[in-house]
Amino acid sequence: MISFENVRKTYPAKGGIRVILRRTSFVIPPGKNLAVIGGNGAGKSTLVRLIAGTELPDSGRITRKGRISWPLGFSGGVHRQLTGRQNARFIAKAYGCDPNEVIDFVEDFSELGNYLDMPVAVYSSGMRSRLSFGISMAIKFDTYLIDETTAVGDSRFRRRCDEVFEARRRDANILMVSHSGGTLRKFCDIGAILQNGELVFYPTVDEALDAYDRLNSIKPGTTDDYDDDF
Amino acid sequence: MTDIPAQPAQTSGLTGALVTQGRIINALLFRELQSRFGRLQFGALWLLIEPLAYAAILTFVKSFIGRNSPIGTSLEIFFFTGLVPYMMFRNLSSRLLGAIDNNRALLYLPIITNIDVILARAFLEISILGVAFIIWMSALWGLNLQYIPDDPLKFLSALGAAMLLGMGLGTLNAVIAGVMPTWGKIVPWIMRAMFITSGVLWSNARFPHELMQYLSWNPLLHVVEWSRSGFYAEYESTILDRSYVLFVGAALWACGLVLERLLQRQLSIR
Repeated sequence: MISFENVRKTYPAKGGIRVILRRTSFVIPPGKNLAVIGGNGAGKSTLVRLIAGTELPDSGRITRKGRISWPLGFSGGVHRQLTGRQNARFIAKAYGCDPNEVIDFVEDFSELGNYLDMPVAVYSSGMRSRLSFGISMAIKFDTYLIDETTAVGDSRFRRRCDEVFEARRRDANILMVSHSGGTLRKFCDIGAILQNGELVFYPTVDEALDAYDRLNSIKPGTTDDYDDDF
Repeated sequence: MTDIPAQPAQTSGLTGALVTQGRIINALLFRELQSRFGRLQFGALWLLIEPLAYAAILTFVKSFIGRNSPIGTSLEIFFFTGLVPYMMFRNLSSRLLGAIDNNRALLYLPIITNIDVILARAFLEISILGVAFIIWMSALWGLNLQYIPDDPLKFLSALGAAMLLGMGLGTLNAVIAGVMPTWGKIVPWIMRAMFITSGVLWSNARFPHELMQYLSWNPLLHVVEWSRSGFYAEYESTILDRSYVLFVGAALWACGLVLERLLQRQLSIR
């Protein structure tokens, strides 16, 4: 369970501050897969980092129960001078998993071949994201935080990710930020819109997507990709 | 599709928290070791040579201008007894300086805290210095059997105090450098000032009392005095205040930990 109590989060911006959350309280319904929708700059990625605990709120309390992943989609935590294998071993040990099992999974999932034994510094950005996705998928969490807006990879790799998400959904929950209405509908049961410093919940993803379209005066149901990153 | 690895056993409560922290520090220790000695083999070699090389060079210079050792008969040992605690202090405090700044990528893994990173690096550095110390002493012993501290326990406790001081300043350095990277350019000048006034190169016996009053604010001076009074049975230090060293070390450490709490928000922003 994840709950926010009077949480405020702002960023300094040109000529003032940008408000991401204005003293907001909410509980993310347990046992549900949540799709978070919002325009560019609404702070969806920040919300994910707040939940993960990699960023701190200006004020208020965030309480978490169960194991929550780091925001997947970032290639964070990876040391550039160490090899993919050494990085996988480190993260597995830090999270208390069997390093060999994690490495086996990463080897199979990320298809890096010989690159697994080379320093991450020589990887392409696609390879790096395959490695970090592989490592995060190898570790069991109660809640996976997936920030698809920052994820990269070819369609083949994305299909593999979808397969693992599907398997994971059986005994874990997903909180997903994506620009693709299709992906959100596929993996999530409930939706929430982040706008004007508030997070508003909807009982289904479709209702959230429709409400988002109405709010932004787009004819409901006409857009699948509700928003594009530049 | 490969099987998804099994979930580790969950632990809770204080023991659980300690087990988790121990596990994380252990993982970090290994990672630090790999990134430290992965490429620079020369770094390890230099660490072993440094105090012996310095002692030899300084002895050469001093004997050239015709000076005798202020204490004991050997200039090498006089310098060595100052250089070793200085190196323990300097290596710890300067290696810890980058602990937070060099590990920004770890901020993406919320399970790992800045304190874990600092502790892991400190443990690694203490282990490295411990091994280096054994090699230095063996080298000295191999040269001449009289190169053995008269009061080994006192000599070792002086080195422990040097490490405490280094860890205190290092923790504070890590936090300050985490929010102000230019701190790394300022610290070497503080180190130089502390080194020059620490008595590694000279003995305070020849200094006027008024001057010593000011110099004795330098905790490193006490560490060097402590080390020499452990090595030479005949050496009685007139200014040594051991509790002052321990107090400064603990105070620096506490300051670092408190500052880390206060600056947590600044430290978390990329």
